[in-house]
Amino acid sequence: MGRNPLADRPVRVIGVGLHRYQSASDTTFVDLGVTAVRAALADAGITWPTVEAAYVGSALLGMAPGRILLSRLGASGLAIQQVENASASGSTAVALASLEVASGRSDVALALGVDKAEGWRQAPPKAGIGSLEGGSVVPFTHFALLANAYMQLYGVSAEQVARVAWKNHRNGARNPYAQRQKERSMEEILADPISGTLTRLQCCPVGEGAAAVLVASDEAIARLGLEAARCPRIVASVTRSQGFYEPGVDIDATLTGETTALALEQAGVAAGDLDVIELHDAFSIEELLYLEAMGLCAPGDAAAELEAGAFDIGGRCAVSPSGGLLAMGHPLGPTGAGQVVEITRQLRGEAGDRQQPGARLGLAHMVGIGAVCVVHVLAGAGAGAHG
Amino acid sequence: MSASPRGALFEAGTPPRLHGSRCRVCGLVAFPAERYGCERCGASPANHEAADIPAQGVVRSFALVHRHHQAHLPAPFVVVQVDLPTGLSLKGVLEGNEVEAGDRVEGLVTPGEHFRWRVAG
Repeated sequence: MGRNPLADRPVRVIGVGLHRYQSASDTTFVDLGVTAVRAALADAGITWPTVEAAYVGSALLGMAPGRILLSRLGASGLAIQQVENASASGSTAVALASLEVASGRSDVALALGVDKAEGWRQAPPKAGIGSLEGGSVVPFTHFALLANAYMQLYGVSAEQVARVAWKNHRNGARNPYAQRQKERSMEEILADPISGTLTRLQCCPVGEGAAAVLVASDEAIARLGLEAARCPRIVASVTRSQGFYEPGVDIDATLTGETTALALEQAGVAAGDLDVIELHDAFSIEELLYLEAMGLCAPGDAAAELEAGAFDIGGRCAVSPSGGLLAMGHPLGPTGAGQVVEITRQLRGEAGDRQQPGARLGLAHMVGIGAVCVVHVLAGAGAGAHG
Repeated sequence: MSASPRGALFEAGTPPRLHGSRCRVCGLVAFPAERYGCERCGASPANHEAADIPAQGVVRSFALVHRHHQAHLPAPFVVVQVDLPTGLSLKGVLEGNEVEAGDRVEGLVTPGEHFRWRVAG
């Protein structure tokens, strides 16, 4: 591994903004994106010409969404780069904007995730590598198979797995930017089976939205007179892809474990130090698998810990306080950037009735088709050595 | 090269045979037959030889699919993940609905040339 640019030159989040995640509508991607960026600029208290570079993460919009969108904030001529990394596109936009500042090339950079659920196209099927299952195993069935294996291995019930969705819908009901803002009963969560034991409300909605994250150097924060206490530091940014795993191994959980371990090492913290996590809970079972892979609890213990409230807001580590992909939604491009928005609000103590008390250290995690995985660790401005 | 990467994935038989390949450099058995390079060691396709794999194994997990988008595969149906003795773990549609983890299954080629798993009787 080379040196860690984030250790050499601190990068902090100075402003965050969202356009609500929602079902497909006539709202243009420009409206979605401009709304989020204006909110982030207002949150930071800076003007658009201050931003020197922008990374625009989207998976479905097609070629060149960035310039036409950002030009409506005033065509400043800033550097614009398009980022596509499947479900992790927004996370990768954050990673690259952070590197942009850490490298010293820019002092203020924007990561914007924006997308609309339309025109789904993927490269992997074009590789021409056949399979026995053909198109019979879509993502919800892939995760239904993992849920079945997990429940058998650890003697966990379908209802225990469903409690992930029960918790995350409860969190999403408190988030004005969530696509699903309704607390649900366990009866509602368990109704309407989709595949295996996974039900409709245990599968994330894919709609549209936007999430903007502004990052800056300490020099810029001082020069612009920003309130440093509201600027959490990005202390780790790690991207990995699937290595060669033995057949039958849970790819996403294994990759999550590897990537998270590197990020925690980079941050100089342990999994047990985390106060808040936003993770890729596209399907309820994923939260249990990833919490164990991240080292938040022993293999097989996540369901019982969740049931005991360990991962509630107010528990030992709030997991998906935004509502996660299950309730806040998964509009692809925005999702990973939106996680950083939530972690930032949590670390500032500005998360309202979703606030994890005393949140000092947070982690954002996305996996994407490939598989790829991106993990960021953020520390609140008052968080000891990392402040 | 001796592998047949662009040919059929399987051929009927008792059990059906899956057309895979074996890497001469690292020994990895791949299915379908590798056409680009070994995922484990990177050896080029010229270093792969054809390997027929009996379609037999043990069910690792299963799921009854309630909703599905393909008209030719109406839900409900069951998908299984099957561990093969060669080290592969392959998914596929089950013929019938009754299955438990640990069941022995083997392949079945339907009259429509679709591959199905069925519980070995």
